[in-house]
Amino acid sequence: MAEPEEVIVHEGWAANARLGILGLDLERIVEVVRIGELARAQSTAFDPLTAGGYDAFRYRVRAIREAYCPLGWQVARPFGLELLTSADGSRSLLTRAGTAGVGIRDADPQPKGEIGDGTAAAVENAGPLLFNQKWFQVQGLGKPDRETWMLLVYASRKVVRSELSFGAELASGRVGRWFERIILPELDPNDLTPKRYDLQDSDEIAIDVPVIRKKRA
Amino acid sequence: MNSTGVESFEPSRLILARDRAGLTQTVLGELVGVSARTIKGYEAGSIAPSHQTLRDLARVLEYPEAFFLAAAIEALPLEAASFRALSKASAKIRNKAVASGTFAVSLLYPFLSERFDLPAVNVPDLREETPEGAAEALRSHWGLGQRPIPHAVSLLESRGVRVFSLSEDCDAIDAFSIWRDGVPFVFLNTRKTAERSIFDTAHELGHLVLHRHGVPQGHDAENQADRFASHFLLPESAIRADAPTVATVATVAAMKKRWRASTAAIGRRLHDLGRMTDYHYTQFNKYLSQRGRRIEPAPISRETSVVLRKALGELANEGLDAKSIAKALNLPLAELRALTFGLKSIEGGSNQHPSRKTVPPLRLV
Repeated sequence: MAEPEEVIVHEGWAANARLGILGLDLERIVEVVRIGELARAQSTAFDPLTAGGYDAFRYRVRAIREAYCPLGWQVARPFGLELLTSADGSRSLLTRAGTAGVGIRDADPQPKGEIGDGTAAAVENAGPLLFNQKWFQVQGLGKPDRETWMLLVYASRKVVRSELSFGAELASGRVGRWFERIILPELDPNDLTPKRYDLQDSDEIAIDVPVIRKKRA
Repeated sequence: MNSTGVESFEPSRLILARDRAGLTQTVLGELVGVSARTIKGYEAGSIAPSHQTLRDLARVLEYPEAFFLAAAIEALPLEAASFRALSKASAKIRNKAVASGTFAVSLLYPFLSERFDLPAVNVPDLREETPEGAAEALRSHWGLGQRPIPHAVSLLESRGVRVFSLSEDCDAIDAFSIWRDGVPFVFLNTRKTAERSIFDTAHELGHLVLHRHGVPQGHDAENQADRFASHFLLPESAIRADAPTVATVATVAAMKKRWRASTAAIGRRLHDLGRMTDYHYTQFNKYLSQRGRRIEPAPISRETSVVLRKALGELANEGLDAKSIAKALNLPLAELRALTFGLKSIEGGSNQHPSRKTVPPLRLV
């Protein structure tokens, strides 16, 4: 059985471009994360302990639906999951709190806590996508009709990191392998004002035009 | 040939010089005091002008006499060139532009390639592709990904396309391109806005990859090249990702910094991709029209040829300035300037353009 050679990680412009292919965009997705963190920041010491985390989740779910449902995405709730599903049903998004590895290229991010049955079903359902396109061609199979992406958010007092990632297989209640990870810009939990992210500088095309003088006879 | 005429007179050069001047045989004849039939005879090679008539031809056409006595030049075939904004250009204007292109292809380019190793040609034939598919394939072939193109002219030059400017009197022609002996050439009008010129560059690149073996004329070919240019400069996924939540002239103008396309072109792309509603697009265009289409919000810098700047700069350092090169090519200095984006930096002295003074010395790579 063919397996992917490595996790595909998109950062900077590549992240921006990959989101575009998914029918998403960096500006809205980061705004979803920001809205979630603003909600988390409203909790006080008198709230239940889990209130901040739940509010962040709740407002992310609301914000991502408010952002993309006008563009044709739809609310879906299979297996008790709160999903956002593309118009053709081929792609779904769910959001989860993540571990400290979220948003770091070489780390192994995981959803916080053990993966529930619903998430597990979503990951397993997307499992066939761990194979590359050639595998499907060789096997004479069509492309699987659904892929599920997780918007993972890790929040500490110093930093908020997030990524949109595509789990390929489950192992011992964890995502054993990521197929693709789209790393999103970090947020400062102490300054959650909206910002525009200019990703150009890190990845500009370098053009060399060699014009070399010939030796004179 | 008439034994009393100048024996080494070259008819093909008279045709080119007359085309450049935009004169009919009749008018040229009147200006030099001979009949149209005589001019026709000179151009056919059946008779040759006298020494005095040669001097008169040189004076009227503003070419050195030596120009008419050098080796024959094979004119570029008009039908092999693709013209942007074809409908606006009369046959006279097109002849004028192609004659200028002939000087670049047959005189200036050989002069430079004798002295310099220029980038090898790496422009694939993508005629089997749709314009959109060709744009994606070419980005992939050139390893560009989905990133913005920081300098379209130098990108083409780095892949072996030779880029020259069109003379300023070809205002009705935006650009044209041609393949010649396996080498692609693009000619750009420098009187358009910098943004328009970048789109023209991509448009001509579309002709070079899509219509290499065909006759790229007509509305369909122009439409295909436009679609190619739009997809090549503004790739779908990256533009989707970069689209502002609310596309206004101000937010679209901010995108120009990265994408180096006109506000109108980016606006149209956003609309085509469903990132701008019909209502917003109408309002957007109304605003642009009120400003004036030639007045770009947040204008960007004009692109010129890096190959020409490097090569002519190097020759200037060796003491071969623009006047000397023009003389070596038997061309008027104005013709050389017209083909080289008016690169005054190679001319030295008091003609130095103020904006060039801050440019650091050029080095060969």
